[in-house]
Amino acid sequence: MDCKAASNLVSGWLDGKLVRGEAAFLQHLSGCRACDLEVSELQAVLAALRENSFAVPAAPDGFAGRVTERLQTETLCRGSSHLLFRKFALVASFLFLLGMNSLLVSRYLGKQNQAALPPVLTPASDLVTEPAPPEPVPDPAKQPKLPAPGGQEGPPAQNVAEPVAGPVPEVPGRAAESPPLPPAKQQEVKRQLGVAFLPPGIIPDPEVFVQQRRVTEGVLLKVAVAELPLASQRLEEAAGAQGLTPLLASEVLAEDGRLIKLYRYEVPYLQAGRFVAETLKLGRVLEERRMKEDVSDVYGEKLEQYRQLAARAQEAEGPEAEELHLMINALLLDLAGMHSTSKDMKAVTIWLES
Amino acid sequence: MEAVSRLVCRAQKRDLVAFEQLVLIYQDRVYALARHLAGNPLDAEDLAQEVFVRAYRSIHTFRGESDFGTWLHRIAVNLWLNSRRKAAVAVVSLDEPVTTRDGTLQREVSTLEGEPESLLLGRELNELLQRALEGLPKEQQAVLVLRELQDHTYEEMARILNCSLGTVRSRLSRAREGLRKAVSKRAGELGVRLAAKDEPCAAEGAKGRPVRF
Repeated sequence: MDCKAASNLVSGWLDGKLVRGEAAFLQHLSGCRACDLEVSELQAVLAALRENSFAVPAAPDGFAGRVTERLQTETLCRGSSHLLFRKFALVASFLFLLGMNSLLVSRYLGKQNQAALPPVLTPASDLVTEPAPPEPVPDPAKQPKLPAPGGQEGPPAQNVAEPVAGPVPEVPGRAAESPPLPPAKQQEVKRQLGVAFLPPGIIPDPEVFVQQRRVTEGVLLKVAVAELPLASQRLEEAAGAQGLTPLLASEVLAEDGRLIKLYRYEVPYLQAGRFVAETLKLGRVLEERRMKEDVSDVYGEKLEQYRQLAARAQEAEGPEAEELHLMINALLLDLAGMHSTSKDMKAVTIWLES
Repeated sequence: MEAVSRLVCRAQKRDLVAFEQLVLIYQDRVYALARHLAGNPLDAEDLAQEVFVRAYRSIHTFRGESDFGTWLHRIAVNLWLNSRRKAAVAVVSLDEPVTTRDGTLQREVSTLEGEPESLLLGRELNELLQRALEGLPKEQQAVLVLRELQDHTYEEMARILNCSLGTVRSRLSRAREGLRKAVSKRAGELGVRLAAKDEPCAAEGAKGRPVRF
């Protein structure tokens, strides 16, 4: 055996892999000082390498938690192949804020029951002439079932100590047409608007709510399914079984020709987990994104707009008044929608592709 | 392993709780490999996190034909090999305290005994080894880490590196020889010997017996 052949065998010999050629290899080493020294050097180097690296620390504390947190919050839009989905995610985030209002649109405008809209602006007519009784600080204990707006910071009951003085911002031509809502309906609308804690007749001051913290939550699921029509049907059935109807159900043709079906549901908070679990059964989940958005600032801005428009509406007449009224109604819908998804509802958006 | 299989099955159905259990089971092994490959704690954590994130994303492709830990190591090595950064193979500093779940321990250095002229100071030795390793091609660094620091078998290495046993053998052989030459050259420049002349030669010594500098 020459030195080159011996050199090729060193590594295997160190790992005990040299069985048949070991005797010849060792015989060469015993007669070749240079090769013997090289092997000794190699053993020394590898031993030093091991010695210097023997104690690798355990994974840092909280490592697993950080991994799962990343998985939960990781963006859906990774890589150029998800370009379309990136666009969708942008749209979805807008929908997240805006689309939620369509529930209220369907509830109120869809029923053509415009009288349901302005009770906050125009409370029952008897209360207009007869100011609310001096019951400025509502006792939450008296209304345990009613949610307080904002939640985290508690109801700003002290801030509404005084009923709003002065004339009610009546909407011209509308209050006269709209009969007062029944008390139960009034309460329901107030609940939707997040002002359920207010005693009857007290008009909420928008300023009160500007400081409220409102966080809306939503889930975005992208699921690959075997057969799109079948999966869509199963989804609709599963949703129907839970009493849910989609706010949005549309088909999108992707750039590569694939058909994608988009659904959007508003699901009661406590029901959302069950509904999402059902959705996950439809196929292989490609992406799952949980979104949380603080809409406090938007909410505050809209309330400020509402206040200004309401003030202008008092003096406006004719077409301008009509226009202002429409804007005020739209603002109220926005506010109520934001409130509902920041309190009781979760927006669930589902993307199905085959 | 049955428990691991069950967790993998659940994770394949996007059960994040099950996957977190898998992370807890394998995090130390993956982190150790990442630490050896990446060179410092921060890069190691990034690499290790990325391994698990990639694993979760593609867990549906795991068929259970190999050990789940081996699969994770494969992801780790591939990620590291594909990273653009010139990552240094970590030879843990002798001066660096070891942080474990039980607290921080000062490393006890007890290997540097023997003839004074054959010794390198701990820090110098550490730097010498690290530079020698960094000078090797990344594929060779990876194979050395897997074999010398992670004690993987040839078969496991073949699965992790997605290559044949023959390739593992030849790559490891080249890596070891490359490391020896680099260290020897550097040691020569520093005027130290790698092996004492009066130590038993390799042929007489027991196989794998650690030989000190």
